[in-house]
Amino acid sequence: MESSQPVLSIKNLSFLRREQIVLNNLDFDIEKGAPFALVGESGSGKTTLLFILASLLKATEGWVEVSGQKLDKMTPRERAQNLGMVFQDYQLFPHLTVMENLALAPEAHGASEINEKAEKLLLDLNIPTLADRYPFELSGGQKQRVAIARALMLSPKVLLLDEPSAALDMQTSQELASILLGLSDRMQIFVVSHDLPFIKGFCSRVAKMKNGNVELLDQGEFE
Amino acid sequence: MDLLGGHRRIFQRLLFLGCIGFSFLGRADDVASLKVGLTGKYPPFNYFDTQGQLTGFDVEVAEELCRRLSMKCEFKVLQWDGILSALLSDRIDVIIASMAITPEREKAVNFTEPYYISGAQLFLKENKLKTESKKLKIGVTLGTTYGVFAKKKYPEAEIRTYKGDVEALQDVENGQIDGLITDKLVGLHMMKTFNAPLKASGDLLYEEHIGIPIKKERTQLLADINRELKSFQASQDYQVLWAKYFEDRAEQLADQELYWFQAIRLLLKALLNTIALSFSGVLMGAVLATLFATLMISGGKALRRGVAFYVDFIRSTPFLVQLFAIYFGLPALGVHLSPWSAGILAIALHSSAYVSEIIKTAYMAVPVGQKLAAKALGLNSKKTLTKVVLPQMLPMMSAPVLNTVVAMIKDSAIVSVISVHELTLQAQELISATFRPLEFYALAALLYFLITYPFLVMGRRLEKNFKRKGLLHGE
Repeated sequence: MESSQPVLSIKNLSFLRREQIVLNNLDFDIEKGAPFALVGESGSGKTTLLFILASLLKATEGWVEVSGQKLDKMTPRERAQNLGMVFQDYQLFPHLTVMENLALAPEAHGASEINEKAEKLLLDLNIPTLADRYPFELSGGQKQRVAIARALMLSPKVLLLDEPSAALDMQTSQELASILLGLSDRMQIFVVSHDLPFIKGFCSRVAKMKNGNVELLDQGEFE
Repeated sequence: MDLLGGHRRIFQRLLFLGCIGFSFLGRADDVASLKVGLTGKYPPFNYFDTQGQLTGFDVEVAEELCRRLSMKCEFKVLQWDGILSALLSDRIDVIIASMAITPEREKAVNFTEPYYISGAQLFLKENKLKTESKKLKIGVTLGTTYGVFAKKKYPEAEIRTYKGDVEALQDVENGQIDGLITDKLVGLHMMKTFNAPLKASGDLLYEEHIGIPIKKERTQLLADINRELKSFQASQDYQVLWAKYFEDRAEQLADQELYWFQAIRLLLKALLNTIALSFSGVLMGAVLATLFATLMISGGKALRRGVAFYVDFIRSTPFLVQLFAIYFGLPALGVHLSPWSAGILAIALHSSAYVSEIIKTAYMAVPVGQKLAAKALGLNSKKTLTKVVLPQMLPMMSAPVLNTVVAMIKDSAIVSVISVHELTLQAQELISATFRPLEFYALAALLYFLITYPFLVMGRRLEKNFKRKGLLHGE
């Protein structure tokens, strides 16, 4: 492993929507390490940045690199294996069981030992009994964990989470924070949130987004 | 986001299947046959007996002429009000259906010499025989000369038009009208067969010369038929035939008992036709609908608008008019379809409008987030469609599509007007031979119910099941 290479680099990234600047020439690196949080008012462009990282939106200018590799040079499958995404409203597939939700993408990509991997992940996330349930039978916190497990099935280098605590009560979001902290030695966690108490619980690196610009905060400022 | 681009190949395959479907619509090659148009609802001239056989005076005249011309008679059963358009659009060669020679009709077609002469007769309920004409309600068949004549002769009477004499007679029995004008021989026949409470009122109203219409261009056929008709009428054969129908009538009609077993067998056979007609139509409609829905979802702006207009147009015009446009209108463009093909095509086009809207609505109802989630997991557009989008569309589509199937099975009854021998037409034929409307319409309704009801139940069960699985939300 080259430890010198930043896991995520955002290079001169701009995004215009209907000629309005949403992201203004963002340029920063994230070294692999503790969970990273991006905070800011709603409408500040955080989710836009997240969607560009997940290749769901195309940047107007600039590019993104994961471990030194340009995102737009990758195939869709490689992109999914580099960057996993957990949506704010989870977007589990309602017609599939938990196990089938986890297996869908690896099966499409022709991976092997899918069941073993899925069972291990469900165990890691403390939901081993949910394998045969349908999404409508799950609580919000359970859906959240299934969505995380689904993204982890592709072993991404970076796990993106959009407002993960938005629909959770205090206790469940604390449990989520400790789960994410536990995962952070396997991959880079990148959280977008405006829930400061939740962020404080597990993120030691925080950046603030304001008017399309990102400003990295010191520990002190953040406190 | 081009989520649909990769689906183009799938839809090309579906389109191909659709084309195979259409190739079954091709026209059969002409054989040395004479296509004879008639209504089959005009006993004792042309009608179906209780064995389902076409018979009557007209039919036997036609068969005799064909024999003398060394041709094969091919009978085409048509509705009276569409029979001349069928002749003019070359769907049939001649009409041998007791059509009166009138100057109006002679403007459009040529007539042979008359093959019999009869007359119009007013029949009234016995208690109305002395009623003033201005208080009378009189039934006539739509498109016959009786209607024109009745308006002239009884300007103050209320004239109501009916599809046929049997329907008019039914309304006499129901007390809706006081009597009807029809051919004297037909009227006497009906009263004898059905024991109708009618009496001839006064003398023959006027004389009618019954001839065979032929398209104006076909002068050779006209000459041939006139020649054979003349020699036939001069022969002993004609007198024997006349006697069989109009002199020994009582004896002949005594055979017309109702055989329930036979009648039900005929209805079940016609039910199979109804099933074949509506299912092949809906199946072809589903292929078209898939194509139309795809164009509405992912086509260019002009295509989207064009398809949307087509869907709106079909949904806001009557099925009957669409059917007539296909069957009577397309021959003007050189496309000749058999009644079966025209019926299937009409059902296919009609159902495609409804089903494509159902598909489009279901597609739109799958949240965009689901497609984004599939994309974030690196699924290509084909996998996104087959593994994520379609499985969520099907629960939403199942009940509406099954409802459309039920609607089309019911609407297939309308195809009877272009003489496709399905359940409703069969019931009407049995009624005109037996005059038992209650029994046969009830039987037909029961048979329709037996095939449509399972679809309604299935739709409801599926919906309940999908709701239980959280795949479908309540209203």
